[in-house]
Amino acid sequence: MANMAVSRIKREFKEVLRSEEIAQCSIKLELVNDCFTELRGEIAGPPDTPYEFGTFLLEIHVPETYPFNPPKVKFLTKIWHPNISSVTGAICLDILKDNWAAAMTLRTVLLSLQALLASPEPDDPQDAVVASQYKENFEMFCRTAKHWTNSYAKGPHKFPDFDTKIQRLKDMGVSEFDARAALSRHNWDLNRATEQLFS
Amino acid sequence: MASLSTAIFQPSTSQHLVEKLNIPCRYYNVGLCRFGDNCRYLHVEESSSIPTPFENNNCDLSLASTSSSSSSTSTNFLNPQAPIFVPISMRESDSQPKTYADVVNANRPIDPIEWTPPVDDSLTLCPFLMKSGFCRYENCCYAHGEMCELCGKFCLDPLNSEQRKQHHSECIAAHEKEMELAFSIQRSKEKTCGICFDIVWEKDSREQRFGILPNCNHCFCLECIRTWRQAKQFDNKIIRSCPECRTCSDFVCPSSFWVDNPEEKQQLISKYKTALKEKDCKYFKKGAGTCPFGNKCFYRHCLPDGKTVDVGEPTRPIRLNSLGQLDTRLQSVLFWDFLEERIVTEDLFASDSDSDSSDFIFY
Repeated sequence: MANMAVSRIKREFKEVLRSEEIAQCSIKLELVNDCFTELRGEIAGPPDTPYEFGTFLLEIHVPETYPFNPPKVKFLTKIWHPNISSVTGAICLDILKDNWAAAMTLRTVLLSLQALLASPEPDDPQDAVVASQYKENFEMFCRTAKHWTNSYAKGPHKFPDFDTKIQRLKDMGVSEFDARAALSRHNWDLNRATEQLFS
Repeated sequence: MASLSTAIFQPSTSQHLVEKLNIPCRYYNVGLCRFGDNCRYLHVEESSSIPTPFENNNCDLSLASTSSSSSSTSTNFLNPQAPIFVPISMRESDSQPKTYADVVNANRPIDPIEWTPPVDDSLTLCPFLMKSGFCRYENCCYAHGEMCELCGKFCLDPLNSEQRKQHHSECIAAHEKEMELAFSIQRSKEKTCGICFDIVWEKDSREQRFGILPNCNHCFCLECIRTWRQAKQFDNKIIRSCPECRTCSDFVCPSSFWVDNPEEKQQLISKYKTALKEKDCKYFKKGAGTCPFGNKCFYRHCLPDGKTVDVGEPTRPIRLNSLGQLDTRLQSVLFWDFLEERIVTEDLFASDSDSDSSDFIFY
């Protein structure tokens, strides 16, 4: 790995550890291996959003050409968000792609992702189904996102009706995640979700 | 000044045999020569054994002076108070009479450390006092200058106000320059590159240069900002803009010091542009090729005879945008593309890239 990438990550790592956000528990950064290429990030769901009180894990891969190329980041925690794939966790954020700038750091990336959770861009979606739900049925989107936050990111909001429907599908032999995804995609319409799963 | 004074006072011993000059040592005669046997000048008693080229009395030389005291000189060539010799042939044409030493050593290059007495009528200041701050001879034959408060040297002629004034203004100018340099150093030494996060002056000596962006004041080292601007995977708009603030800048100006003051920055940039204009355009090839950038090129377009030519507007086909207007933005981007590329290729081949002038080889 290129020298510059390593020395920069080392510095950034210290920067994140010293930063205010660490003190406020809103972001976290950990090393996965000793060569500073793989890192684990963690961001807190921003207040007044469906993701509030949740903690979201991120996988960060630092390329050899860092900082001239952006780090590769994806969500490890499942999340219901227009710009994040509900299946793979892939993120659609300009700064992680063609709008990267060499002066950005892992700290700014984590803060940008936190900002993305607070203000989704449904017109430039990664997950088209989530985006259309966000635009057409915002209330349903919020409930679904809260439910996902509760299920995967330790969020506090429970939705017994959703849980019942998931249980019904699980009883039919569907995995919990597939059941949740199918129901979420169809605005929690059990019939349509079943139809999709068994067609 | 410091190096010069050491050169004068360090006896040039042991390293090499001293080549004797055929000139009597002026310090030896007043008992002041500290070089002893290593002195480059002849240590002889006055009026004893200086070799003379005038063995032959038929030599066509006569005395230039008409003073009455010169009557005795016909019998004693070697009197140091003797008037100046001037060959007849040169008497009319040369306004400046030549000394005896000049005539004897006509072909010898002038010794840079040789101390030559001033020709004007001001006092001759004591060189010992001036250089080292003290003179150990009570009856020094030179005038002792007054101390300059700025440089601390005894170099002010007590009788010549013109010299004092001139020295004072020179001293102030030198002092200002020093201050400026000190400020530049202070300003530069802690600066960190916004890309590699290293302190620019703590990098390898070859990389201790700043890449100044004309349109914003964010600090990068030259290497990093150039690498960023070379990135192929991003749009031109992205890599042309500052990685910190996204302000677009058309080029990077190399500098050894950090500059953020607008005036100094403007000065630096125009100096850089002027230096680039000194370099021949590798597309124009002194008339053998054509430069696609025409008169917008920052390099020199000149013919082998040194004549600069205006090759007119760029020859690149003019592109129209969707509205049928001239797309000048695209053109300028292509031009900067070329510049950026040339900067890097030339940098690879630049040999002494630490020298100041090589900062200016690319654009």
